[in-house]
Amino acid sequence: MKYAIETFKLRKIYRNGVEALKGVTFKVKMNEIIDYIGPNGAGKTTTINILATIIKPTSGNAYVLGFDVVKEADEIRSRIGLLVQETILDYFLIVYENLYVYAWLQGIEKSERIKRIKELLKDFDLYDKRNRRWNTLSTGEARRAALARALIHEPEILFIDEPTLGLDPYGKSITWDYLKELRKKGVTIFLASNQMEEIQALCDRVIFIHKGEILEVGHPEEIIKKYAPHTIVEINLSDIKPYLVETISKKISSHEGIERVEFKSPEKLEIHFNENILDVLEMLDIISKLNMKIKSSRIRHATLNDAFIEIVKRSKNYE
Amino acid sequence: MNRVAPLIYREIKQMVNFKIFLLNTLLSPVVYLLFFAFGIASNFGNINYKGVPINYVVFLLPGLIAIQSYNLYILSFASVSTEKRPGVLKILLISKVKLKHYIIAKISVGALIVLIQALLLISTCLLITGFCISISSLQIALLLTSLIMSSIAWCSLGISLGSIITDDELRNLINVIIGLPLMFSSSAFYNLERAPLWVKILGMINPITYTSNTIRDSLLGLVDRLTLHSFIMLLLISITLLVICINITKRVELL
Repeated sequence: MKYAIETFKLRKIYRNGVEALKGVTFKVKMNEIIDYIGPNGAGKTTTINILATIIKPTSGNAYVLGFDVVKEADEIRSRIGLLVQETILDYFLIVYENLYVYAWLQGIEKSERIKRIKELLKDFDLYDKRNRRWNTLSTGEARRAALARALIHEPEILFIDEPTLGLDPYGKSITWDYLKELRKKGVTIFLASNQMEEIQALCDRVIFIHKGEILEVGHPEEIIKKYAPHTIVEINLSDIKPYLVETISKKISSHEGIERVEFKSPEKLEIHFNENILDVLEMLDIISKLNMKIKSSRIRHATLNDAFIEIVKRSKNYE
Repeated sequence: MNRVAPLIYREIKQMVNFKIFLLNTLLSPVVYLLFFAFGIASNFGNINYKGVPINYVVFLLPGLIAIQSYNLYILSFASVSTEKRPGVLKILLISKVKLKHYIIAKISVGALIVLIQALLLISTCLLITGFCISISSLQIALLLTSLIMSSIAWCSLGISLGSIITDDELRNLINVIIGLPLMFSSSAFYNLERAPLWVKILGMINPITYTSNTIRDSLLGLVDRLTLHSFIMLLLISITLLVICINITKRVELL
């Protein structure tokens, strides 16, 4: 089976001694949308930079579309698109010129260049802004323009660091729709997003990285089931008596079916249920009996975010 | 070379879109010539150069052209530094741009700017002073080559520093520390032969001196052994700085 991306024991130690990647191994199938998730400084950008052939690994191997990232960088560069986190277009070029230069650099013929730019500007609702400079665009428009630029040469793999960072709901919707369309056309998409809503809406699989090590790989729903199979009751309290916090935690935790009890803030209590949630009223009763007022409460299912927190907590690197 | 053309287009478009920069680049040297050179000339008259009395405006003209080429260092330092920091270089690199393409484009556009500035300065000087240039094809070749070599030298230095230093404050500090001593210890504004010894020594390790001397001798028709010496020194400095630039940019992470 041909993989879009393969890495084997990939390590990167920067000159300042920081070990950003500690032997990362994973595979991404063709035509997959995958998210590479991890806290800040986990090694996401370093991995993308290596896969995009911008920096070289210290050891280990990585292949993009079967090409070695060190030995066959040119082959890879013509087949990938990259959108970095900073949303940088050339400052003194207008949107149209930004796309034009990069289309030219990719070797696209002039007539095709013009046609392709027009299509992309229309797809991303930027046609009316084509003569505007980067600094006069809104964050969302600049982000969309940068994404359009990354797609100018119809790449086979798209690397995107935080695709919808700073985008309003309309911008997010356009981008997500476009990414889904790209996948239908056979493009593999490698996201580095920490936005759970986005991951659950788009991704086939997620790869969790923390402190340069892969902690988990899998389908979002499977990961939630594995690490956060609980239902959560969120309770907002008032008239908090700090000395009772521990008492509440102990009393509730002792009940059967409770995974854990957490005070997210002095006024926000989260009860994680392992199984059913029939005991919710009983929990509320315990709290009321301690003379604490309940402002509001809601029941929700665990999300990828809860699973993510759990994975990080269980990891040996958790401090 | 098919990557250099779009990069040159990119550099030129950026410049044309940045109207204030364009205006400043084209007008500043002319204004300098008109006000500073004529002001000084009216006070001190002619200046003696290689035994020939020369109008100060005509004497300063090559110096001003040499300083325009020095300005390429400031321009390329700022441009590379600001393109590296936020990730523009990353995007360029995965667009199949090699560092050599990037360096060639920066130097080519830099040299083009200096040539246009030189043309404007020479035309203004000729119009206003009525100074008559009788220049041979060899002198023209010498003039153009020295301008190109000087552009290579200064752009290379700017690109080298810009690829290492991305901090704006440090960049400004370096420019202040290097800039004024370089300009005023060269033969751009005065005849170095009559300067104090320590200024002469500084002037001898200063590329602006060699650029000024070569251009001055070409324009004034005073080409001799010393001109050849200046030309060779400029050539060596250009090659050295270009080699350093290529090596530094290759080694810098994320470039």
